[in-house]
Amino acid sequence: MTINLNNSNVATRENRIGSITGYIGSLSDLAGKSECGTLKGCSRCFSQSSTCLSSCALGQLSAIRDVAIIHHGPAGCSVASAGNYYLNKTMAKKRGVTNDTVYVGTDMNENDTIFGSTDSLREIIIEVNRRYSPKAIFVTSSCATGIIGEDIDSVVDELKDEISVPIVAVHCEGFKSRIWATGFDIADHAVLSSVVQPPREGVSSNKINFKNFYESARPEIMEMFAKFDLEPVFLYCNSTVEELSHMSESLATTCICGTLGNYLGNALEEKYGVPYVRSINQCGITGFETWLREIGKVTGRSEKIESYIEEQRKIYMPQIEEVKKELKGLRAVIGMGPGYTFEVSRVLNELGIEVVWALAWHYDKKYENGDVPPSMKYLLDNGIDFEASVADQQNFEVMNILHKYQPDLYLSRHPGSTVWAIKNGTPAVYVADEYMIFGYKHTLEFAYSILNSIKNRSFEQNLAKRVKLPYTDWWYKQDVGTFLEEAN
Amino acid sequence: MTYKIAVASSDGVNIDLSFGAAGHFDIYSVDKTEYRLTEKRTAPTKEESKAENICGDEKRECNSSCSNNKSCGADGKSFPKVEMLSDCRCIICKKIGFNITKQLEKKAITSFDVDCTVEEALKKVTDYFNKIDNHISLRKSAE
Amino acid sequence: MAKLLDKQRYKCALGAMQTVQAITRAIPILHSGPGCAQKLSDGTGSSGYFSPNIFPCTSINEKDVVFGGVKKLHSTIENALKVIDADLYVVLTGCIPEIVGDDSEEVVSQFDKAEQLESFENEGGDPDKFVYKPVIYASTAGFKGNNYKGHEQIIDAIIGQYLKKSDKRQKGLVNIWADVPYQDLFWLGNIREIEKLLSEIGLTPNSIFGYNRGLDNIDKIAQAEFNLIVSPWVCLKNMKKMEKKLGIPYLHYPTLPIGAYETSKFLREIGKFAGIEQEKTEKVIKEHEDYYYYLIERYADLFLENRVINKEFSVVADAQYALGITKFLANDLGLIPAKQFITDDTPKEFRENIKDEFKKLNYNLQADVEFETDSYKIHNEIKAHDYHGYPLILGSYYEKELSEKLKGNYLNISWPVQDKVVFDDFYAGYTGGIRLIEDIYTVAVQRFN
Repeated sequence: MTINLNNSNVATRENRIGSITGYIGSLSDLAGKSECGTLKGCSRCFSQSSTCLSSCALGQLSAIRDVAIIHHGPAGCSVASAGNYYLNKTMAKKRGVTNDTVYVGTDMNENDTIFGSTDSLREIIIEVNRRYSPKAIFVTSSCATGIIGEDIDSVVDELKDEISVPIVAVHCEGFKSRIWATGFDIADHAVLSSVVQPPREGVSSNKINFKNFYESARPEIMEMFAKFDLEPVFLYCNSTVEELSHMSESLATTCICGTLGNYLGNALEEKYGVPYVRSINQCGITGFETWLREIGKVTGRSEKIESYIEEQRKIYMPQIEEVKKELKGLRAVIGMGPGYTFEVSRVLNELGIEVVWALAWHYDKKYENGDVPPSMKYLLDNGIDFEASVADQQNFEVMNILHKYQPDLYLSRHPGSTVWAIKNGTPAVYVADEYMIFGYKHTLEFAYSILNSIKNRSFEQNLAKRVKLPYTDWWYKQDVGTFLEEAN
Repeated sequence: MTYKIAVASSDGVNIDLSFGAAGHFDIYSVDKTEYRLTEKRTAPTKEESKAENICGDEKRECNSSCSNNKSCGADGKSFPKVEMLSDCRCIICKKIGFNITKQLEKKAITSFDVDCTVEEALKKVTDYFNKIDNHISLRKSAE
Repeated sequence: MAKLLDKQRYKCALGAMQTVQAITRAIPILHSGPGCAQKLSDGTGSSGYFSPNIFPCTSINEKDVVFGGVKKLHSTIENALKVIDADLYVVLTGCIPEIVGDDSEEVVSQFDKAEQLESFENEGGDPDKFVYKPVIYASTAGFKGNNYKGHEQIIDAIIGQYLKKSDKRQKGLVNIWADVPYQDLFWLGNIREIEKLLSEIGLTPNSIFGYNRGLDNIDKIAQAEFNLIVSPWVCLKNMKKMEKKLGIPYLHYPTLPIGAYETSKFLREIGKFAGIEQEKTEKVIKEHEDYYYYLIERYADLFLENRVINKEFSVVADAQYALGITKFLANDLGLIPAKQFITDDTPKEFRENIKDEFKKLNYNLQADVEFETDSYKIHNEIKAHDYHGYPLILGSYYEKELSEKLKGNYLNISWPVQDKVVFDDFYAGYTGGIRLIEDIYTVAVQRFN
């Protein structure tokens, strides 16, 4: 097993699981090869901007309440602090709590890159601690600090004696990995190595660690789980350090997205014996029921869960069958992280929509324990196949595909991506919220979102008629794989 | 801290072999920024690989007979060439298949695919690792 | 020395990519990590013909660090020219290549006119026809400064690598340099409004940022009679460079004109500098002032009988807005400046002059101004000051919670902005002043006392 909590530098996702970026083929190809580990990926000779891994890592950590993030680097790296401030205040207000988390930068300048700035960093950490008394401190590096050899680990180690709260170094030297979702693992690693405590003696719990993004479905999940005598503890948005320290005592860990949660889930299982619920995502009917049943199995609540499923099916299935009639025959292209692309493909299939191309931004060949991702396995087992590419958020490939396939619909989860489909005249649905397809109710809502997007095409047709897309005609005539350098 | 670098070169002067094509690897032992050739390792042949029931051909198209076998990747075994080099910190070749790169990375082995002389590559890589290990800036020094 | 950026107000120099994005059909090509573009873009208003997902980027990895990334940069530029349909390509270098020593400038020089590398004519024309597309370069590593500096770097690059001195001068043509695109919330509307005002007094404005302003406008720069810089300090060094290289003089007007008092002063000064007939300028001014004061008079009851807006205010913003708004609130609305805070890390050589500007208020009022990037200190000062009533605070989203605690009246006018959506609204000029009044009093009427 590859999880080593004593090392501050988590092996990047590419290292650990054998992820790839840059692949074109069919889904069964991708999956089949994944089982044998023979996947050929390619690197690119032209690429566009995608995402910084620190956005994922620090987006997670900075959502924890009353902590401090000290992002050591030039001002650009800590720009995320502005958005984080807004999110924290709004999300705390929504839950009815307060959040005094601070996210500061160190405005590294040219002198710092020549002479180093570990002394200043030390002083900054002490000052932040004095000002805000955070419950934990995460000190992050950046590309610039990595390149100049700043020894963040030593600074943090020395301060461990002076600072009474957990303080941990978080390594975000971006040039070391191209697959952005690594950030989630970095965040998990930081929390596991500094905050999570071994389980207390004699504590029994009905808690489930529930890893998600922005807990929009929290009230309904709490209500549902209460029926099964389970209490979900949502992470990391609005989590407290206290709460997280007791994650090792929970009955199980589950997450809203495989990519997001597999490091944490596996580590808690390996180190503390907290079972990790491995299942396809809760998207769509099959997803939701499979997931619930797996939880039932792991926590011993199967009976209660079965009666809940039966009850809910009576209410929702007829409505879903109704809307399916209007969705039949639609063709879609999907572009999302792998945790979602293959899940959403399954749901679209359930709703009778054909997926003509799926772009998974990167692809985890295997999850931590060596199995093929469950979502992939499900598709293969059920004979669902379509063209797939692993596009690493490369916009020019997405546009090329949309131009060739002219689907009825484009679905994506990442900011900046759906707008391009719309300009192409393709209706787009921004599957932003992780609960958008959660359970019966939201699957029905999702079906209607799609239907409504198709029904009223005014916005995109108006825009598409007038705007010019930024690519040359030459590019549209090329093969999508033009810029992939052949792998051996 | 000393470590090893494996180089795929036919003549010891140029990096001119891909990982797949390399019949042997020159192993250099490195101490800070000093390196010297200490051994030549021969890659296992196809026959040897077959005997171990492990697929030794990196370029093949995977077909159903292989997936029935399920004896590579899925159960953690990597190609014999990769196994052979598992005590190295870094591999340098002209070209390395993505698949191999992933297997190497699982073992925390860095790989570079470059087109230059052995000396240039070793100089750059050992300099880089030396700086990373000792927290020295990678800033280009004025010459 | 690294400093504590507590609640930061600016981005790094690579934020200059937004300056490039503001020039129609210009695209930045980043020699940086894969995530810089998305990180430095705002969530709202960053789309358009080009958006950050479109920016070509070398996505530097470990191999590029060890063996150099110039080959990759070359191939990225070469392919960007083939794939992306733009008029101007601006290569920007990030932190890593500048430290490890990639000679990006040399790579870019290979795409000079002399090489005539392939570009593809795109309007249904002959695919074998070659068209020259300019490729320029700016050194914008994050640690070189913040995005105000980065903005100046872009203009510098255009002046140094693209513009040529011209003997031709177009009468009345004036280049306008004001707000920093995307950093200043009202940049699009403000620049348009300043253009409009200049047109009214008979000048021909030229600007390179925003709707329909791109390479054609850049090509006109060298023929202008003068440069007009409306800013306390940003772009001043670009003006000096243009004076030297292109022989174009400049008029430095440090205050963004908001409201009647300052805008009339603004028009008079420009009119004088440009040799416009005084009568003509005065006619334009009178027409605007008549309408402006009609509105003020009509709403006098709002000003005088509102129970919630007290006299003292603080602005927390960059030098541009801190100065512009302070002068407006004091000289137009008769309010009293408490302490003002400038958060753009103004270079030291400009600070004295800017402080002096804050002392030039009516009735010998002098506003106390502090240059500070640490918001903790700013907030402590605001908390410590007695505003003798509800404080009026115009600042960034970070000031919202503070204002609520102090029961103040708060308006989000500087970055980061979360509380409003602005497309092309503006605060510049006569109309802009009215807009600002509307916004302030909309806040005020949310409560009675």
